[in-house]
Amino acid sequence: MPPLDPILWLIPVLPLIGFLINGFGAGRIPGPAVAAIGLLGPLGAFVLSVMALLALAGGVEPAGVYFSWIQTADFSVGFGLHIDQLTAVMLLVITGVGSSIHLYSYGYMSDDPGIGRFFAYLNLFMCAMLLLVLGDNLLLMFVGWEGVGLCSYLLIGFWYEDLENADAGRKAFIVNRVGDLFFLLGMFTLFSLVGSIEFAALADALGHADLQSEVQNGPFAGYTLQRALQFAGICLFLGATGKSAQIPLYTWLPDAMAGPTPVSALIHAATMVTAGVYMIARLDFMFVHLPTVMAIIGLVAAMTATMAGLFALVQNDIKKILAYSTISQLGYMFAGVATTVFFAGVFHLVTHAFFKALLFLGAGAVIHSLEGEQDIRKMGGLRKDMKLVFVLFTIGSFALAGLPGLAGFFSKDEILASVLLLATYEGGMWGVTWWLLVFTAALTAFYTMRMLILTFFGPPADPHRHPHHVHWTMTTALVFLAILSAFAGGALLHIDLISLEHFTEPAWSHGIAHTLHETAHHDHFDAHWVALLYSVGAVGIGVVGAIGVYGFSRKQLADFVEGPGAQLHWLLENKFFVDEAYDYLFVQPVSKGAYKLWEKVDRKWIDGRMVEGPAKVTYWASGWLQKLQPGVVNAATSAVAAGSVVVLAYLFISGMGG
Amino acid sequence: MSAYLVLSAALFAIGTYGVLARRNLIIVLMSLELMLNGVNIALVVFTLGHSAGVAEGAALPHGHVFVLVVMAVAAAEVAVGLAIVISLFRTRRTVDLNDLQSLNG
Repeated sequence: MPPLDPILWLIPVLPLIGFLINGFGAGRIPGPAVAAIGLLGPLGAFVLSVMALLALAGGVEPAGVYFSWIQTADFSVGFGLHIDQLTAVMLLVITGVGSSIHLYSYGYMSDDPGIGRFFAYLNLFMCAMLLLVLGDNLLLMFVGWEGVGLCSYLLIGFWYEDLENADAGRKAFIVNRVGDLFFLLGMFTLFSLVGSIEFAALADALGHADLQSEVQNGPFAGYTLQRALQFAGICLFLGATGKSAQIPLYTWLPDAMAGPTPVSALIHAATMVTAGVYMIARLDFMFVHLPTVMAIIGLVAAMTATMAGLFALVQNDIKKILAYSTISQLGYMFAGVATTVFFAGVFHLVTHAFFKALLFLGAGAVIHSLEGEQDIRKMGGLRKDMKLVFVLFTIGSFALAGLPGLAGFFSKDEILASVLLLATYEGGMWGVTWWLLVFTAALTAFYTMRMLILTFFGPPADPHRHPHHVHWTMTTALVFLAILSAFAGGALLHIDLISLEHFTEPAWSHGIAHTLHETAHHDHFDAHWVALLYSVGAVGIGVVGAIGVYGFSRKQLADFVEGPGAQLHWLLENKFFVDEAYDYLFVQPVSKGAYKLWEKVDRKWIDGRMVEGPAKVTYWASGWLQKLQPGVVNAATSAVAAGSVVVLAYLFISGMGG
Repeated sequence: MSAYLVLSAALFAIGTYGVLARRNLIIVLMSLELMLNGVNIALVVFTLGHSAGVAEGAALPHGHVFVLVVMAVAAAEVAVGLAIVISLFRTRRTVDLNDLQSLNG
């Protein structure tokens, strides 16, 4: 096989070509051609990604710097791409899941007149996301980071005629901007400390640095290196909370469901929202030095997971349930990388991409066949109408719930085992994190089963409905993802040839968990088995509870919700009023302040005084001056004559005097 | 010599009166010519007067050269002025200054 380095740039460029063709030809290229062009880019990138994987397996890390991008005296960035084990895993997920979602999108969007625009945006998203994971420096990663944010905005507001969709897009974009600011701060901090933003240089400099040494110059002079790195770590995590929807910046993701369902599957479940997890895994060499920051990340992630799980309990919109579930599962991923067992977080990222994409696409098939109905209370009994979708959706649900044997089970267990290890030996915040995550496992099983039961079991809400036929491209994509959801978890963990743990091993720096692992081994403490027991127990309680409540005692549930549980339900249904609080604390002051600025400063002073003021003075003065212009020729000539007489008289007199 | 100067001043005064007081544009133009010719006479007369005391071989005053320049300019001015009057008459059907006050602020 020829070396991959010279053509590495093709991976992001192939979807970009698709974007350009579909973008400029939008409305002129027929639907099937649009889909074919749109699908070729991600497929080509997928083939190249597989080649990269094979090269890695052969011990070569494909890399290339294609041109010098920014060049100043003490700062230089090249357009450099680099593939290591972590990137290769991300590449396969992005292009693999991405291709299947592109295929699905043709069936889903074939009736939409904007299909060209849709595929163009999707391809642009692929390009940005691939750039994000391929970049060998923070700045190039940030370009991809911003690019996916832009595409997310464009696709959430894809049906922009509806104001609500456009608002949701704006909300996602603005909330993400807040996170991006912190990403930039973190990047600047690292640059001021190390003088480079290339991952290799950063890893080199931080790998053997003395953390207690004092920073000599720059804004952090006088602080220890560890302090400065903690600042950078917190900033970067806050950046990640924006993109990956964690507390405090998670509020945009549920609203993002306003976009077409394939978008929710690709961007808001499988790929873009995992960018924050990827970023922390990419900067593992820094985060392993920051146990306090990692403990905070773990706790915040666990709180996010629990909170989103609680919100998912009372949602009735099938996409909203899946959105909150995504936030919750992202919390698991962050908790996983926070333990410094980076593999655990990335493993859950991979399996989650499979089963969450499957669930979203399955939900999309249901929504599509019911002509846009998203309320699970109005579905019911669909298992007879859509047998195949029912089976596939059930696989996805079981994988999400973490039923033993399916993908989600294995990856969640890895995370729980790592967290348990830290909770046992480190204690403190990790103890809280552990119990929150176990509780969330039960919650996850409960709301997943609730969604499954309400959607597919029970009597049909409307006996006269006629669900539409599901397009073959949609079922193909669903089957592909269902196979991965069912088997990928066990396979990637237990088959040595494709073991994710062994494959990604060279990519990680060793953190606290590594030493704890030795200790645990010495103490004969097997965290995996203990975590397994807890997780199976929690999932069992969740599943049995949901079947009990929604299968047999809906009447009692209704009584509970209207009786003693009314306040709790009210609180959950309104999502703890976080949105309202943000609105009151940030949105209203800014928007009122902006209105005042417009009214007082712009309208009154700039427009009123500085722009219109001179005009008014001129107008007023000309009103007076025009009286000197009677327009009578004789008067004008008389004035000229009189003036000449005066001048002559003056000259005459002064001439006499001189 | 003073008789010539009186003639010159009289021509200039008559011309000035015509420019200031008459309403017909053509008469105003004719009066302008009178003013110019009044000035021309004065120039010629002064040149003559100043030449009398000039020493043999010294440069003579060249006032009458101005007269030629004024004639040329006056001819051009009349041509342009009459052209304006004609085009004004074509559009407004009048050459009366009382009717031409559209510049009145």
